[in-house]
This record gives sequence, C-alpha cells and structure tokens, in this order.
Amino acid sequence: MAEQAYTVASDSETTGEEKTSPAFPEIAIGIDIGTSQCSVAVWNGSQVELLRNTRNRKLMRSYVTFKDEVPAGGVSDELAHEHDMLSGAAIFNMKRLIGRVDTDPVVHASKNLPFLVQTLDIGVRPFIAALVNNMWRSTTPEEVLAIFLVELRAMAEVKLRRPVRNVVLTIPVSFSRFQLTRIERACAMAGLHVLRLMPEPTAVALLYAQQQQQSAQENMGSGSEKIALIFNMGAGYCDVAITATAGGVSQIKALAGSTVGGEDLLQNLMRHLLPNMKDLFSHHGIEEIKKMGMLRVATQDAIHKLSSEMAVPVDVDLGNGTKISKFLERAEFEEVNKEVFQKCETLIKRCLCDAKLEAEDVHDVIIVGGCSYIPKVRNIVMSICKREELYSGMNPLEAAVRGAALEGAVASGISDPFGSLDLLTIQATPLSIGIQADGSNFVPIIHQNTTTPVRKEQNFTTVHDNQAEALIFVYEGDEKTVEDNHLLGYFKITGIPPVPKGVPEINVCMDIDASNVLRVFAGVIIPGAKCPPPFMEVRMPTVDDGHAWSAQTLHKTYGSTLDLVTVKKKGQH
Amino acid sequence: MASTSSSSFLLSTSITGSKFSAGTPLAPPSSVSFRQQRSFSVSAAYSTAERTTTSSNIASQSSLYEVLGLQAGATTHEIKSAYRRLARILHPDVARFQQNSSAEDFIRVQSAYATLSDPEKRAKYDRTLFGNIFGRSVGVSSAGTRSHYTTCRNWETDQCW
Repeated sequence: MAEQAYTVASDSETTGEEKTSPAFPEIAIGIDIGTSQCSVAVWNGSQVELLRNTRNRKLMRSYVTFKDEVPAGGVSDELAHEHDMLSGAAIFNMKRLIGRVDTDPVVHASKNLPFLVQTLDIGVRPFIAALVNNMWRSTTPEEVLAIFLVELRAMAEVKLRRPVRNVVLTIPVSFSRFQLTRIERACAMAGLHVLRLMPEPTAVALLYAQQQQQSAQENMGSGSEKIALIFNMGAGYCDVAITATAGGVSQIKALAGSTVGGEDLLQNLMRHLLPNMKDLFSHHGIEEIKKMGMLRVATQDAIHKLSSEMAVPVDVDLGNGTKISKFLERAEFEEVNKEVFQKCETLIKRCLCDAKLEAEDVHDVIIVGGCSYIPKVRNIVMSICKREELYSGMNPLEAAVRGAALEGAVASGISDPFGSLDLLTIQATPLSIGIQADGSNFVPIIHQNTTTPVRKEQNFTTVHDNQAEALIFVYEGDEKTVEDNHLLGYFKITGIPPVPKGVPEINVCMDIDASNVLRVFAGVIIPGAKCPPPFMEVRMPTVDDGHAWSAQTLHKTYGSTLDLVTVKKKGQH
Repeated sequence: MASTSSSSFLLSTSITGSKFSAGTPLAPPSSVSFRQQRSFSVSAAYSTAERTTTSSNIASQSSLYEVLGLQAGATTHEIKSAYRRLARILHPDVARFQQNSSAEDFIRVQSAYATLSDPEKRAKYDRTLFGNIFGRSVGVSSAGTRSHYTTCRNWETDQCW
C-alpha cells in the first residue's frame, strides 16, 4: 500500500511510448561502509529510515571473523569484535586496504593490525590473512567486504520483507576508479547491483539540499543559493566538498580527499605509547597479535575519552614486563598527531581554493564522520572557515548513509507527493583523468572538479617518423608524472599512416556519463581518407591486479617507440 | 515528440527562459516534480558513434545565452537560475526516466554555464560575441549564423593573422 503511493508519476504526457521502468520500482537502499562502522538506510515512503540489526543497533562494526568453515561478520555479532581481534581471526579496515598494491604506503601502515598484512613491494596485491586454528587463512579485502555485505543484505531483506538488489554506496573522495571496480566486484559477489557509488560528502550534500529545500518551503522563501562546506573524517579517510544548493539541486563545486583518518590518529598514538611497537609485533605470533589487539583497544578508548576530557589514564599490561601506565593529556595527543591535523587543514584550504571561494562565501559548515567529535578537528574546521558555529541539523554518524538512501530513492525513480525527493546532485570529478604523453608526464584531459557528465578531447601526435602504432596509457590523479598517479588501463591504436613525426593527428576523447562510467575513445584522424582506421572505444578501468608491474614491463619492452606528445592547442574546434 | 530536433527544444526553453528572467525567484512550486516535466523530450540524434559531428550541432545555437534561454544582458542570478532549471530537466539522472534522452543536452548547458558564470570567461566571450554579431540584434538567431567557434578569435590571434 505504501509503495503504491510513491510510484513514478503518470505517463500520460508521453505520447504512447513504452516505459522501461517498471510500475513498482524497487527502491535502492543506501549503504555507508565505513572503515570502522557501517550503516544501512532506506526511503520508507515518507522519510529516510536507518535499519537496525537484531541487537537494535543502527551502526555496526565493519569486520569479518574467520572461524572454522563459515566466516561471520559484524552485522549480527558486534560483541565478539574485541575478543576476535585479540585472536587474529578478525579482519577489519578493509576499506583502507581495498584496491591497493603492496607498494602503497597505506598498506605498509596496516602492517601492525592484529592480523597478517605482508608486503613484497613489487606492485601486486598484499598477502592478507586471518589466523584460524593456528594457520593463516588468506583472504582479500573484496572477499571480506562481500561477506560483510551478504550479512547486511540479509538483515535489510528481513527488515524490509522484500528482496534487496539495488544499492547506493558511499565511497571516499580519494578512491581511484580502480578501487571503485573492487567495491563493485565485492557487491557483485554479495549479489548486489550498484546503482551509484557516491563520494561521502556529496551524499551529505544531498541531505543538506533536501533540508534547505524543506526549510525554504516552510518559510515561503525564495530558495536562494546556499554554499556549504562539508568536512567528513572517519576512521580511514578525510574528505571535503563544497556544494552550491538551491531548489533541491546540489551542485558539487569542488572535492578534495586524502587517506588520513582516525586510524592514523590511533596508530600515531600507539607508537607514542609504545615506541618499540614495530619490533615487538613484527612476528605476528599469537602472543604478538594479542598484545597488538590489547594496545589497540586501550588506545582507542583513550582517544574517545579525550574528546570530552582533558586527560585520561592509560593502563595496559602487555605481559613479559611490557607495561604502559601513563596519564595522557589532550595536548599530547594533538602534538603526536600534528601532521594529520595539518593535512586536514590543507585539504579544506585546497577545496576552497578549487571552488574559487573565500571562507566568507560559505553559508554553512557541516562536519560529519567519527572524527567530528575530536575537539581539535572541530577547531581546525571552524578556524579555517572563520566561524563560531557549525551546522547542527545532522547526526554526524548518519548523514552520509541518509544521503545515500535519498540518492537511492531518487535514482530508483521514486517521487514524493510533498516534493521531498525533488532532488538532484550534479557531481564533479574528484580526480583528473588523462594520458601519458611528453615522456612520462601526465596530461590531464578531464580536469579535477569538472562537472559530470562530461566529454573532453585533446589531440596528440607521434614522436617518431613512420610510427604506425601508439599506446594510450590512461591515468587518474593530480600528480605531474604518471608514476605518481593511478593507472586505469592502456590500449594500442594502430593504422597511423607512415609520415614524419608530429604530422599525424591522434585524437583522444574521454567521456564520463551520469553513472560515472568512463570511456576513452582514441584514433588517428586522416582528413579526406575514404575508410579511416576505426576509433578504439574502451571502457575504463581495464587493469586488474598487479598493474604497477605491467606498466613497468611495457616500458621496458617498448621504450618510447609507442609514445605520444601533446599538440599545441590551436583550432581545436 | 521524442524526435523533436534540438533547435525546437531550445526555442521552447528560451520562451520559458524569458518568462523567468524578469526577476522571478527560481524555486518552482513544490508540487511540480522533475518527472512531470519529462514531456520535454529532447533529441538524441547524435549518438556516440556520431560524436565528431556534435560540435556542429552545438554550433547551430548562435550564442551560449540562447543555450540557457537567456538574453545577452542576463544577470548572474538569472544565469544560475536558468542553469538550475535546465539541469532539473536535462540532467541524465532526471532525463533517463524518459526514452531517447542524451547527456549531450546537459553537457551543452553545462559548458554554456561554465563560461557565463565565470566573470572573466564571460567578459571574454561577450567581446567575441558582440564582435561577431555586430549590427545584428542580440539574442535572435538566424538559421544562417556562422558558428562562433569558427569565427571566434581572441586578441592574440587577431594580431597574428
């Protein structure tokens, strides 16, 4: 009954065309997979509702325990987490590890987690394993995530009394497109179809847009444009977004993100409390894992308490004479994590700069995520944005999942008679996308913070005489050289006519559609040719694991023989 | 209806555009939902395969103001309102619930907005626009208007050529 009231508006205006969307569309649920916690929300016909697990909790710990045959996630069994963590059987922080190779500093920083993360520094996926019956049971972040998502899905299906297939997931701004494919793969393993992957602060922006629209209607206001800065810091990632909102349309002006979060605060403080931590825990034996787990729990507890208190006692006995007994002050915690806080500052400043705005132009400053309770984090945000107060209309731990649920309803074609779903997010690209040219330079074709959907093209030419082929290396990122960016894939274009270098006109066009699918078209343009060689159209990313390897091998094998250089912009149109 | 050419679509938006541009606040009544406006069927005549021809389609609109359905003297507020109103109709997230929708229309509106909302870019564009259509009334397109892309030259190239 409730569903009937919220179907797609009548088709009477369209002239006899068959609609593709079903009469009763399935409402996609919103999922916020956090590094530490996770939540599910859905549009229930009149508002967004968070789903509760059997223990009546809205926030569930993101972890999976490998025991005997059947792994179990933290959806139903949260109390076991700390115990499992001490035994080495629990894998967590998968959101930090997913889609990363073993040369990644984030993977290296994960080595003192109470399970096995082993690296060989050759650009392949790290060896991640849980200790089960004294044996390492290897797994992957995708698998862990999939097991967890299966539980979430089962919980949602019980609560909603219907099958759940479509989801909107929130993701960190700094995720590369390769990482997005890993998230999609995990969803596919769990039988879920990803309708949209939404950068976390843009989900918050959508919730803000809805709140602004509602208050504009209540006050009969004109709904003039409002600018909001959204700062989101969780356990694994820190994101900033600036949105311009009016009439339910949230236009993302700029995005900035980085891999800093509560996990870094935790590890820095652990290292501060136990300076020889690395040596103590290097063997990953049962005893070491237990100690690591104990230190972790004690440190986490101290950080939580320091949000409300100026000093806390830390007492933890790690055995064998290793004992920490200390009175930890808030100032000490802030000093130890100076660099993390500096990074947060840089991100906010960069985002304001990219949006071409001053702090005074921002109407509302919104701070969400688990780290939003840390006084230092709040102070940084308020001081850069030059204000005394933060926006108070949202629950910092629920804002992202609520936004995802709104997007899920909107993207499923649901409309609301009260206009609560007359919402639209105009997204922007978090990272630049381009190709390798002019040696090992990264030449962006679609720049960072470009509104999507978008299509951009640029011309390149050959570096050698009679060069018949060229390799298109597609990268994503904002660094000058390709090595520092994420490789998305590569493909070869052929049929370049045998002419001197610099003569052929090679066109590379990139297209991002509204579903955030990236396609790259490339080919040689031969004016007047009767049957020119066909353009290649490739959906990106194409790379799988071990991609750091393949780029090196290609370079070794081909040198510069298939290289390209940029053409000076002249007569583009 | 679905095969309506893009030029007639823009004609209809420029009518609504001028209605709105008289200082009317942008927020539409809450009862109007996005999807009720989908009778605005827009052309998808240019598919990806024909992408090289799209520039000529874009060029058939003689000015970026017309793409947004505005007069050349529009205020910043009018430009923002017009952009948002068109986004609510043409953005693929809204338009995909109708058949034959295409991201091209939104991209065209977006690129017009990107130029006109940036004071520097707009000033530069206005100079080229007024230079090219000198003696012709602003905002009225004639079928034979040459594309501004081919006629547009900035100061430096004018000096060179």
